[in-house]
Amino acid sequence: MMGKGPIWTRRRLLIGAASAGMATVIAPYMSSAAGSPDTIMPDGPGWTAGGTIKYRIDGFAKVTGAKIYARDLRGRDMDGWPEETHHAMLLFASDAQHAFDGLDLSMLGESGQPDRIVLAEDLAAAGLAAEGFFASNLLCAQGAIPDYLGQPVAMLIYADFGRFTVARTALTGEARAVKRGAAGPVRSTNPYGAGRYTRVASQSPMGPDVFSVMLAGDVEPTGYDGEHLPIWSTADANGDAGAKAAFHGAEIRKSLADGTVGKTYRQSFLTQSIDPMFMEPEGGIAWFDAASGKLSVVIGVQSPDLSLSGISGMAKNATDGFKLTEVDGTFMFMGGSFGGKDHTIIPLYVALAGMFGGGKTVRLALNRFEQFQFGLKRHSFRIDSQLGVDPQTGKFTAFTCDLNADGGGLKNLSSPIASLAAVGSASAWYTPQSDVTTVVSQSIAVAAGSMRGFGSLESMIGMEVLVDQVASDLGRDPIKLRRDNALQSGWLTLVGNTPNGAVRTGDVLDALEKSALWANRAADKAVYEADNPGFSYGVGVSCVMQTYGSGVDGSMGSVALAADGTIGASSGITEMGTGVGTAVAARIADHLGHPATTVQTLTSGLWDALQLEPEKDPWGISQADQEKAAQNPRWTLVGTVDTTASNGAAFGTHAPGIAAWVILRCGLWPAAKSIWSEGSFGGQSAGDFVTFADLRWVDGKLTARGMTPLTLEELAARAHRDGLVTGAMTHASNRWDWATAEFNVDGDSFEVAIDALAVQRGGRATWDLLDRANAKFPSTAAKGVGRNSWALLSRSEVNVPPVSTERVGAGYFSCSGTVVAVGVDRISGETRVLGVHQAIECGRALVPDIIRGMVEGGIVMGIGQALTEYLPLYEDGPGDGTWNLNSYRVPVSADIPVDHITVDILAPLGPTDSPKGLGELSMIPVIPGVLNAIHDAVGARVLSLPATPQKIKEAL
Amino acid sequence: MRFLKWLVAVVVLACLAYVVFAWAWGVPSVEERATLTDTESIAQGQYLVTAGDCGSCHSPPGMAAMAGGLPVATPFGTIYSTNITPAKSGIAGMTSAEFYQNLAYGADNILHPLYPAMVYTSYHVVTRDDSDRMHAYFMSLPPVENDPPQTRLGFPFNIRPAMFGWNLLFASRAAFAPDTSKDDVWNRGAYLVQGLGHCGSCHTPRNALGAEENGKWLAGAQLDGMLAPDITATGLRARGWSYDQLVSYLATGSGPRGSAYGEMSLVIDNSLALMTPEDRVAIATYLLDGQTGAPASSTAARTAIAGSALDTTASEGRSLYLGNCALCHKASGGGIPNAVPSISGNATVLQADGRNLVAVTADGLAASQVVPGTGVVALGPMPAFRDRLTAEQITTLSNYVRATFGNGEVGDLTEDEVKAILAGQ
Amino acid sequence: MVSISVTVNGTASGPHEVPDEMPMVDYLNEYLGLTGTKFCCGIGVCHACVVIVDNPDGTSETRRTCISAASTFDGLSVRTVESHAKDETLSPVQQAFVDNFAFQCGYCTSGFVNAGTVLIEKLAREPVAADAVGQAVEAGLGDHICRCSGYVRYHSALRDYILSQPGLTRS
Repeated sequence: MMGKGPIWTRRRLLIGAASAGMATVIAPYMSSAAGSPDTIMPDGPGWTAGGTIKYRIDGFAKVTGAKIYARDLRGRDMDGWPEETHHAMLLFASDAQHAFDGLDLSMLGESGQPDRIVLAEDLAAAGLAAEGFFASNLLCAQGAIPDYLGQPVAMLIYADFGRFTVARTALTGEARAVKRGAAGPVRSTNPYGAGRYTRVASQSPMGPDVFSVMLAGDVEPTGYDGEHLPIWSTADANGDAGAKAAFHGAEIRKSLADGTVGKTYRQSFLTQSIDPMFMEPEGGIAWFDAASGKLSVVIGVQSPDLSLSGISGMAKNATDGFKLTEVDGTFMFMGGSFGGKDHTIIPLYVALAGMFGGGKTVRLALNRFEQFQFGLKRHSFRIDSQLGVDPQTGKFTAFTCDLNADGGGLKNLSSPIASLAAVGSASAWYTPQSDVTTVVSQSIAVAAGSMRGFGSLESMIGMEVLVDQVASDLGRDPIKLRRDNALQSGWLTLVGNTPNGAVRTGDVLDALEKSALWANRAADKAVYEADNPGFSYGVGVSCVMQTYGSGVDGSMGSVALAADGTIGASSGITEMGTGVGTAVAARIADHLGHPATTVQTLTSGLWDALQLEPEKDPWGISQADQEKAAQNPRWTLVGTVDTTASNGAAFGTHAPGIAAWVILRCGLWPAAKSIWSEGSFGGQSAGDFVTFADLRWVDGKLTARGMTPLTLEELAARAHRDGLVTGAMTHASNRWDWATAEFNVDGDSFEVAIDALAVQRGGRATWDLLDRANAKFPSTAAKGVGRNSWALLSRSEVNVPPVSTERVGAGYFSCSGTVVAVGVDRISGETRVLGVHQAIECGRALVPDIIRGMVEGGIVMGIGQALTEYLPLYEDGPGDGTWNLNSYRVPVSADIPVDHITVDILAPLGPTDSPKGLGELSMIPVIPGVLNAIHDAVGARVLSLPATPQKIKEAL
Repeated sequence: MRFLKWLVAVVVLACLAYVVFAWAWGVPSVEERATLTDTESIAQGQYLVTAGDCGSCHSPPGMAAMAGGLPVATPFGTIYSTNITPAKSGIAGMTSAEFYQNLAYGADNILHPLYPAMVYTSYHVVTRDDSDRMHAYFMSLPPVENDPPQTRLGFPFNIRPAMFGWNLLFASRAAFAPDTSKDDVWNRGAYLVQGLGHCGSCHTPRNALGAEENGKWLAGAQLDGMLAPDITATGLRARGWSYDQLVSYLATGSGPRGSAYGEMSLVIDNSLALMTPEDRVAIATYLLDGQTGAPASSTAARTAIAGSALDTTASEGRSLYLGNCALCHKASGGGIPNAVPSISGNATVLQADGRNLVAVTADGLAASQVVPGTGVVALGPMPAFRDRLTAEQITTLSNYVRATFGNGEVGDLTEDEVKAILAGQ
Repeated sequence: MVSISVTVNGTASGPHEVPDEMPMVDYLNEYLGLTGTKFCCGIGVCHACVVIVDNPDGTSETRRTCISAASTFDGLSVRTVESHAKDETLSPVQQAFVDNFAFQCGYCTSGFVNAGTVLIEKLAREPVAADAVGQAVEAGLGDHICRCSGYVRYHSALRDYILSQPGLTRS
């Protein structure tokens, strides 16, 4: 059927995309690679006219329906791929209590049968199996009890799209296709992780602490009992870290029990499982050339390297015909993600479709039922907290929190998510004593993984509701109570670590207090209740500080200034909709006076020029080994970067920004000097001592100490003419601090926060790789990172990317607070959100319009989780394959106050503030804000999400 | 002259007689009892109010709960539901006796009886004790000051006391009479169905004066363009309903016999789904008259094999079905559990007059509301085909569906029949 | 199988032999290579997949292509998101959304663009009072899901555009 009739191919838009390949694992090094969507779309004409950004760089492509998502591509769109595209679908187990007893595809009739059926036995025969992070049974074997609800049991491949789509429709929600055998034991294993985070402060909140995770190292249970419950060390003041934690923890819990730390507030809170519900279901295309062993895939994920290494890992022990020599990844824009496409296992199935595709291009793209059934979910948490408060001062004296999460059927990122839940459990508030435990359990639920908020969202909701409870019980103003307890700059968090930079919780609280929604709440209440009999008006407040960055983050950037003054930039990060490409363009304007003309995200082979030799074990490496390795000028702490942990603005734009700075320093500055010194006696510059530090961009022109302002065009022309630096490619490494190094360009030596640099000189296309000097990498001990502090965890967490440890050492934080107004029907409990105001602190806002849009989106998503979104975990949940948007209610415009959502982006402390992460942050305070507003309105304290009318009625 | 005097005298006497009748018969006096205030009675009252589905009329969507204001269109004019919170504009100060008089007799004074849109015609079955509990619940609510529009019907219906005449003719006042030949479950079902459930108000046909027709109890009635189907035991079983299916339908609004839509989805959402499983069992037991076996119809069997035994010979009807319906309802008619109702074995398809099948095809259905935690199945939206398909095509499509999924129990509709339904007749 | 001919973005396509129940979104994506029409929920809830159907009487409407088979579009004239921009110039609705940073990931954008286009074409025929524009926009876009979520900006962008065009409102 394919190829018959006129096909409106858009291949011309894809020239070059297929060369965007990378060799991975098999090759000696990992380089970054991707389809570079900006090369396959016309970026909007004049999008940066006048030197200012008028809209998203990808806006034009998205609004015209250009091919930018993995789902858009077929073989015919890819250069060098087989045009003929076959289509694959997965069948899933909707029952995890009975054996998988084979398939019954009779309902498809003779003509509807697949051309290829791939079963677990076929994977075994081919020697294909998931390993490392993804280790699990990719397909449930016939006769075995499925490991979890929604586990794939088979892959069907059709050569003909027509038969495929008919079969797809017939099989949707068709329970009979996957036969159930005899009942058997439900899978039950030890938890995916557990930890204890105990801290006892000394007199000073700045430390040194008496005891903390940062000082003693991470604490895990000594083992698990028959019920898979953690066994904690017995208390011993002089024992090992675990015993000490148990000792201090017991003391803290005793003091809360006997009231010696003031009044004790207790709360048990439940957060629900939800689906990220990104609009583009996961999928992609793959092509396997058995002759060469090259596997090519086109996917859209947040973690490109992990997808490629996971795919190549499957073939570690592959038999002939399935051995891989190269995995070529093309990474497209994501149609939404919110964490759900981070560390996802689905690309492995896309790869399998290709490997069993008989040399054709094969497309595997989930439909929405399948995405609900198999896509990563947000963890459901039970949170039991105790907060000690001095009733006189309102100061928090002690805090305990026991976090129990359901990780579902795959380990995925459960362990680091639980760790970050612990880190966030005190929200933005300081307590001198705290004891937090986490357990994230295995179950047969659909696998839970990364989602916007990554654990701390859940624990912060509990804390923000508990703080509101304290405020109402003590009759204190909820903003003032928070201000009185805010963790201050330089103070230690509950893991005993200092946040980088100034903590601006106080500024955010001030902004909330000034907001109209808060200041006018009494008057608004009177007016609303007069106009809406039966409804009570309430206002809730919430404020959190959330970490961003993953603890080992890379950043790559390339900037090339053409002779005509146009700027081409690249960043080594994928675009999931947050606008990082546009942010890169904006950050370049800091140094070149103009935003980049074009930006490519995760550009192809380009980075080869840096000849990076990234550390294989950045989390485990010792200080000594690191110092030795750093002697090699090609060694870096980390290679490419995932799109994760709200790192777009802070990390994704860092290296491109420095690349632009290098061009200013080594290209434009000498060019300007040469222009300003034209003529006799040193020209106009003779009259003053002009230094690099004097340079300023004014109205798009470069000037200094009264020198004639120069246009970028003039400067670019001169730099190209004189063979000065017109292009720079940079790599940077971050471990809660940037690696720095010195570079010498044509005799000019400078220190910058990058660890690799290559430059392009005017008129030449080649990159000259420079050696660095005096490289300084953040100490492995800094922020408790590294083998010494984390031995226990890194040893025991082989299957979890050790970011789990890094997240505990979190160093970067940003803060936001929300005021929510609701109207609640006192009889039915029906709740209407009437207005939301968010004050957010994100350092220097690179593209304020994009930030506002992202925050507005976080507010809407928060309203959804607060009021309507809900997934049962087990048999009646999404794993049964019948869930879709009819039963899972995400907000539509009628559910939100479209005209009453306001965002206050706090001004930076100064012009040199770095941008901070905020993507996850913006969603978090909205949820407790809604719950606290409901309490303010009708006095109902809802402690389980979502806050349905039924629950509100019961709480009344 | 004399004749005129006589006439006047007769009219005056008639009026006096009616006044006497209204005074003597209109509002039976009932024993005064103190308002219950204990939490248990209030909680029981809340449950009974849910069982009575008071909210569907007294809590209009988007407006304050129980504060009234829902316009109810009747052939005699628009009636507005009243505010039943203890507010000045509501039922503040109403005694338990007056509450029972309104519930059972539709009036607590002879000057201002209620119209039978308030189903005292069913609620008279409710015991005084249960009435007192409902009263206790309403009195425990926060008062909501909301003055719904006054009901104004045309002459003669604007003379409210005339309702006593209507009541005398049509409104039973009999208390609930258990059938001693049946078990407690059956009788509990009877109490709920006849009384609080007021199923008859939709499912029993009404006469010219808007009263439920005798001898046609639950036999099915037409309500603004749609059919509230026959839910007598015979009717239900003829359309393939089994006891188990009916019990789960009452809880979820969905199942192999299709889904609740229109008014019925409100009843499921606001009342039946919130009742106890025991009460739903009782209702099903009563409706199926205690027959818990498989239905007479072969439809159940047909559902099981749907998809494998379908006639797949090409026809215009089949093309219309595959193109317009099959992407959700499946070529097999099996639908998608929890998302799209099954057409195969759907009780609506088995309604002989085809009214609901055609009406739903023509005008579609809104997506059901999602209420997390309740067992109610929230189905997706059904598009409207009125503007996409001609009457002839809708006829062809309907007849294909009836023939294919109605397993020969319902015959073809004529295009004129379909046109009449499309015209809302 | 059924043979269909559809006019897509002014170009006659077909006749193509397709299965009766092939979704229109698949026909556009697989047969015509027009992937701007997005598949999301597949059951007609999210409206990401709507295209514009142009009726002979000059009116137009959006239709969900995930739950309507290509066969039901036989002989019809449809417009997809790819039709609006003319030689690098965006349509007013596209420009309004872009100028207001209305979307983020962009996957729902095709549907919003098509719904917004139908709305302003309708208002050109039947203008509404300025104070009714809000409801008109809610009626036009209200069924569409945007998860990122750009509701605030999609709505304000379209409202502002409509109010800026004298022909679309009446006093």
